[in-house]
Amino acid sequence: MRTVTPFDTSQHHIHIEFFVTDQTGRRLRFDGVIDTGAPWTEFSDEFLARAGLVELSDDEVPIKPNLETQKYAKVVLPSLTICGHTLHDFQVMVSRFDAAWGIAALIGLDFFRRFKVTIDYGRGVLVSEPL
Amino acid sequence: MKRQYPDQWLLIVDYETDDADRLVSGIVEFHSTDMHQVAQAPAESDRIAFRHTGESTFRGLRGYAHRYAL
Repeated sequence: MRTVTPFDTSQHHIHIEFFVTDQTGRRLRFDGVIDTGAPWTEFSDEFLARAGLVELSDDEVPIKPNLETQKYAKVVLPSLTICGHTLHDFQVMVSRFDAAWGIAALIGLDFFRRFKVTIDYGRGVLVSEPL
Repeated sequence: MKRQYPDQWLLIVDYETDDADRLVSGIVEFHSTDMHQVAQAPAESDRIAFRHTGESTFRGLRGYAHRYAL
């Protein structure tokens, strides 16, 4: 199914809304950023904990050198819906996010390599369809 | 919501979305400038949304590294 997802072209990055269905059937809605430079999708550990998918640790998460976020674990999401496409049992990285980013995930190429994606800044839409 | 709760994290229940899956309405159950408090705030609904009403400071990982002098 081909979908058309609007985004705000005035922002520095492409912000989109997405949904995670947790193991109890609740549908949780979050904001994320498309990160075409990231091979893997990363989720905020705070919100994964909210979905009951990880447990937060009191231990300090070390900041890695170089240009990396603070990935420290992996988890499988029962259901993830982005741009109208739902994937089941999708593995993501668990990461510590800066609250000021205002987002819960960086959506990486592991999601988008499953689709034909057109980013149309002229129309402010992201067009996607399964390969 | 942005006008009523500027620069805050919101926990919204019973939300509705449009055809493009964009949040269009809902009930603000909890709000705070503290993301952790909002992420962990209780809510009974089966439909829960989280939204930050401030300007995102995300500038990519290069900007993040620069900010923390990595």
